[in-house]
Amino acid sequence: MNRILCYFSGHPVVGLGIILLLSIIAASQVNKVEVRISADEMLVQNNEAQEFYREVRAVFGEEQVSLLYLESEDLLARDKLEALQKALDRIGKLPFVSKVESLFTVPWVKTVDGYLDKKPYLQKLPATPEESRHILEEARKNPFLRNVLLSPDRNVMAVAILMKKPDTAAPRWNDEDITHELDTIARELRPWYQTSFSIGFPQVRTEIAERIRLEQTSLFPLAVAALLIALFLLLRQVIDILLPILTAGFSILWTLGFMGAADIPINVVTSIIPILLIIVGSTEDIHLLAEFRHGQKAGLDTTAALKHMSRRMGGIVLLTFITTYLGFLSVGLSRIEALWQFGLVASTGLALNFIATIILIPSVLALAGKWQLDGKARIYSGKTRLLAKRYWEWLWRHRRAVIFFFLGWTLVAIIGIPRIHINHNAIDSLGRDSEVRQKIELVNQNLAGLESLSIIVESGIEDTFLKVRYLEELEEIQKYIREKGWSDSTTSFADYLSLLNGAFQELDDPLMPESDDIITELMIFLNHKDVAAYISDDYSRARILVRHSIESSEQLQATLKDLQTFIDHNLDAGLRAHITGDSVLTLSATNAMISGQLQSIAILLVIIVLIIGLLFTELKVGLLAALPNFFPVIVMFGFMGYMGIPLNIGTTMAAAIAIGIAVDDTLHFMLRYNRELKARKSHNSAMEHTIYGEALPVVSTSIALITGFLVFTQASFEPIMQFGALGALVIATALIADFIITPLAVSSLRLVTIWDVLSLRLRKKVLEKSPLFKNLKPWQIRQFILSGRMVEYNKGDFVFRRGQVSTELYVLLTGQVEVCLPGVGDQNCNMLERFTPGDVFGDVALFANIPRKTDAIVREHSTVLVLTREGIERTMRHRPLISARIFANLTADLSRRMIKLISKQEMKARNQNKKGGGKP
Amino acid sequence: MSRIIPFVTLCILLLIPLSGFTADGKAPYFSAPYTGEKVQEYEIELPVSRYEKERFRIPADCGKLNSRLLEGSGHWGNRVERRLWMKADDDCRYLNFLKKYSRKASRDFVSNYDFYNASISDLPLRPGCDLDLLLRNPAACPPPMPGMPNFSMFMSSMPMQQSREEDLRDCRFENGLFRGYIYHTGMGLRCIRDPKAPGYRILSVDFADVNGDDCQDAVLRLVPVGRGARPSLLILPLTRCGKDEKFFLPPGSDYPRFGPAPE
Repeated sequence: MNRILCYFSGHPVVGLGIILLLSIIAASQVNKVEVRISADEMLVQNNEAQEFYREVRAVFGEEQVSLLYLESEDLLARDKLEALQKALDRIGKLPFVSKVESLFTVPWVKTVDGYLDKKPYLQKLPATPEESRHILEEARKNPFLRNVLLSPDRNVMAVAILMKKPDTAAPRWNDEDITHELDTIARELRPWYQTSFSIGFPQVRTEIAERIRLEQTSLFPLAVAALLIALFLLLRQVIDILLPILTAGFSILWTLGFMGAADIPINVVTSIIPILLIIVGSTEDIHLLAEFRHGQKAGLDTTAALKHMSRRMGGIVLLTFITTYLGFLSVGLSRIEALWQFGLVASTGLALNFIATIILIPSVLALAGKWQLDGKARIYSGKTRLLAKRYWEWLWRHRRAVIFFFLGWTLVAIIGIPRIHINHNAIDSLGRDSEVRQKIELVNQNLAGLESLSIIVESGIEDTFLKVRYLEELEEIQKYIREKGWSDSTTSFADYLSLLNGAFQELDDPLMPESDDIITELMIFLNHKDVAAYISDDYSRARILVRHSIESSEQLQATLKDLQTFIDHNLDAGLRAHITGDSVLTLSATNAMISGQLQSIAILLVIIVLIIGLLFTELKVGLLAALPNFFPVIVMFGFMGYMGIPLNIGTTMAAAIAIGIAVDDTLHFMLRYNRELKARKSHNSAMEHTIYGEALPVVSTSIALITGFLVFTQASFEPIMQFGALGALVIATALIADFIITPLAVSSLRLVTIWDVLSLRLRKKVLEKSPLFKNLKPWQIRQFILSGRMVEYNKGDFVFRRGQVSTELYVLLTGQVEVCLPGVGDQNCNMLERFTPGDVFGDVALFANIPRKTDAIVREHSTVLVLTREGIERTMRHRPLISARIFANLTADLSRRMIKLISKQEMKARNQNKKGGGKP
Repeated sequence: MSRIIPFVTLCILLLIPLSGFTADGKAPYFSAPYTGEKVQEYEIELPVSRYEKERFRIPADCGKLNSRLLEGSGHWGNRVERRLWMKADDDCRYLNFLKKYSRKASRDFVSNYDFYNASISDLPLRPGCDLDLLLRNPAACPPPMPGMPNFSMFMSSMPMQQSREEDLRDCRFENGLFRGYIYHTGMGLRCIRDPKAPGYRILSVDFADVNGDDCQDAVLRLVPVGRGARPSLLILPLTRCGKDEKFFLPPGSDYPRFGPAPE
C-alpha cells in the first residue's frame, strides 16, 4: 500500500489518467441504471417456501389485486353506475388488465324458476332505490363480495383489477403506467363518488419509486453540503475539503456504472448507497489528509509529507478499508435479494472509493498539496496537547467510576433490548402522511384489506374436497380465523358450494351441503374455471384465501403461529395444511433478514476480533478492541427498544454497517498507540500523544459520519430515516467509546503488531547470535521477546539516565548504544562500554534493584527491545524452562562483561602506571 | 334417384325421435351442465377413455351418447364427470320418454291446466297410493315411488288449530313453488305456507301421451327445495280423463328415473 501511495505521489498524471479512464467506462454504463421496485426483492430467494408459493400461484392464480375504491351515499344510483360502467369498460381495455371484477361481473348465484341463474348482480341497472337496496343486501350475503368488494356496513364498494403477468423481457407497461392510468380513471369518477381512488401494490411501488427519485435529488445535495460543512469546520483547507467530495463523486459514478453493467436496479435500499459513499468514503481521505498535514506541520515539504503519509497511513487505511468493506459485505450475506444487492453494491462501491482514494489523494496532493487556505493549524496546538494530557490523566484517575458508568449504561441498554419489536411492512415504511398509506388504511377500515395469505389444504387423493367432512375441515379453519377476528374475509371452495347449495335449496343464505350426494348434484352445475382460485382440478387440493389488514409483523407472526397450532391440533389426519402467500413470505423474509443481520453482526465482530487479534498477535487484544465496537451495538438495540423503533430492513443494516465504519477509528487509535509506545518510554506519554494525534481525524471523521447519517433522517421512508438515526447514534457512541473504553482497554495491554513480529523475523540473525538467547530455539526466543516492546531511538537520545529507577533491561537490535558514567567538565561521557546489535545492557541495575548508575546514549538510530521486570517475571511463572536458560545466559553474559570490565580496569591501571613511571 | 328417395325417408324417420320435440311441439327445457341455465340444448364434453374426451350436443347427439354408453364409456372420468354422463343420459332418456308415442292424443284434459299453480288436492299426495288409504292407513300404502315427489312427507300429524278459507287458498303451488305444511281437516286438505319450509319446485311441464292410451299426459319435473334438499330431478307423469277429475299416474307408463340411486 505504501508503494502504491508513493507511486501515485510520484506519478500524479498517471493517477489522474486512471481516474479519467475509469470514469469514462463507468459513464458509458450509467444510463442502464433504472429505478425498479419489486415485491420479490424483499423476499427470501430460492427457498422452499417461495417455491411452494410459486407452485400454489401456478395452480390457483395470483392473490393480489388492485382496487378501485368507491364511496358514496347512494352507491347504486343509476347515474353513478352508468359512469362506473364506462370507466370499467375503459379499465378492461387497458393492456395490463387481465380481468375486472365488480358487481357488474360477479355472478349472483340464485335460481329463477328452479333454474340456476349466475347473471351478475348488475346485469341490469336497478330501476328503483328499492331494487338497489335489494341488490346490495343480496350482494352482502355473498362471501366473495362481502368485505372484498363491498363494505358490509358502509357505502363503500370496490372493483378488483387483476393484472396480466408482466413480460420481464420486453415490458410493455410498468407500475407507473398502471398507476397513472388507474388514477386518471379514478379521478374521472369523482363527480359521482365522494371518494374514488385506485390502490394496490403497483401504486405502492410507484410511490416508493417516486420518493426514491425525489430523495436522490434532495438528500444527495444535503449529504454533500453536510459533509462540506463538517470538513470546513474541522479541516479548513480547501484541498482537504474538496478531495473527499471528489473521491466520493468518482466512486459514486463508478458504482452506478457497476450497477448498470450488472443490471442491479436502484431500489429502497440500494438508493442509499450514493449518499452512504459520500459519508463513509470520506473517512479514509480525512485520515490520509490529516497525516499529510501532520507531516507539513512538522516542516516536511510536499514530497516528504506524502512519503510520511504513505509510510504512516498506507497499511492502516488498507486495514480499515478491509474492516469497513467486510461490514458492508456482511449485509449481503442475506438471502433477501434487496439486501444481497445492497451488500454487493455497497461493498463494491466502497472498494471503488478506496481505489479512488489511494489514486486521487496522493496524485492531487502531489500537484496541489502545498496550497493551503491559511496554513495555520486550527486544532493542533500546545493547548490541545495539554488538553489531551489532562484528559488522559483525568480518565485514568477516574477509570473505575468510568467503567462502572459504562457498565450501568450497557445494563440499561440490555434491559431495553427485549422491548424491540419487528416490522417489515413495506406500506408502513411510507410513513403516516403518505397518501398511499392513507388509502390503504381506508381499505383496511372499510374492506378486508390489501394483504392476503393462503392456507393450502391437501390430501393427495382425487375428489377429496367433494366430500362434506373435508369441506367442513375448511369451514372449521375459516370459522376459527373469523372468531379470532384476524380477517373479515376468508373464502374457500366450501363457500362457493354453500352459495350454490343455498341457491338450489332456495334459502335466504348460503348453506353448506349436508351430504356428499348433494355436492355431487351441485357439481353438475359448477364450472371449474369459476372456482379455479380455490380448488385444484382433481379436487385434492383446496385453498382458503384470507384477506387481512394485519400490518405488524409481530402480530402476523403470532397469528400464523396460533393458526398453525390450531391446524396441527384440529385438522383431519388425512389432510395436510400449509400456510403461504405474500404476507407469509414477507414474514419469513423478516425473520430471515433479522437472523441474517444478527448473524452478520456476530460474524463481523468475530472477524474484527480475529483481524485485530492477528494484527496485534494476541486474541485478547482483539477481544478488548471489540469492546468499543460491541458497546455501540448494545446501546443501539437498547435505544430501539426504548424508542419503539422496529427491526426492519433499514434498522437491521445499521448495526453491521456502523460497526464496520466505527472499528476504523479503533484501529487507527490502537495502531497509533502502538507507534507512540515504541517512540516513548511510558504508557502514559504514549497514550497522551495518541489521544492528541487521533483527536482530529477521529473526531472529524465521526462528526462527518454522524452528519451524513443524520441526512438520512430527512428521508421519507421510515426504515431509511431510522437507519440514519441509528447509524448516527452508533457512530456517536463509538466515538465516545473510542476515547474512553479504547484508551482504558489498550493502556493495560502490551501491543505487538504483526509488523513488529515480521520485523523481528528480519532481525532473527541478530537475536540468534545474542548471548541472551544462546541455546534457545527460535520459537522460545519469540515467546520471550513478545513479552517486551520495541522502541526506536534517534541519535543522541538517552535510553536511560543515571538515577532513574531500573525496571527494564534492553537488547539492542539495530544501531549502537554507549553506556557511560556521567562525564566531568567538558567530557559528557566517560564510556564504560559500547553495545552493538545483539548485546544486552541495563541488566545490572535491574537485577541489583538499584537506581541506574550510568547513562545509556544512542550513538546512531537504534531499535531496542525493551524487556520489563514484569515481563520477565511473567515468563518465569509461565515458561520456567525458557527463563532458566535466559538467566543462565544472562549470568554468563554478566560474568563475561565483568571479566571484560576487570580486564579493562587492569589495562587502565597499567597504562596509568606507565604514564606515571611507577610500579604497578 | 330410386335409391335416394328411400334413403332420405329413412334419414327423416331416424331424425324424428332425436328432434327433441314433444307431441305438443315444444322442445323441453334442461338445466345446462356447468351453468345450470335453462336451455333447450347444450354441449357437454365427456371422457370416452382414459385420455380422450368427446363433445356431445344434447339432444342432437343423444344417439351417439347412447352408443358410447353401450360401449362402456360412462365409467370414465372422475366422480363429477361420471355424474355428467348420467345427466346427459337422463336428459336423453327423458326425451325418449316423451317421444315414446309420437302420435298426438285425441283426448286432452291436461294441457289447459295450470300446473305451476296447481292445487295440492288435485295432485296425488303420494303417487301410487290412494288419498283415502293414505289418510286412513298410511302404512298400508306402498312405499313412495323412487324418483317421484312425495307430498305426503309435508303432512303434519299435528291438528290444525284453525281452518280458514285462506288455508285452502294456500294449498297450492304458486308460480311453480310450494313450501309449507299440509293438514288434513274435516273440510279437506289445508295448508300453511312457510317460505323456509321444505317443498317442491316445478321445473317444467311437458305434454305427451306417454303410455299410448290416446289420452294426453302431463309430465312434471320437480326439484325438492328447502334446507337439506337434494337438488336432483323428480318426475311426476300425470293424467286424467275428465275435466274436473283429480290427476293420477298414467297407467302402464314406465317413467324414467333421474340421477344416481340415493346412497
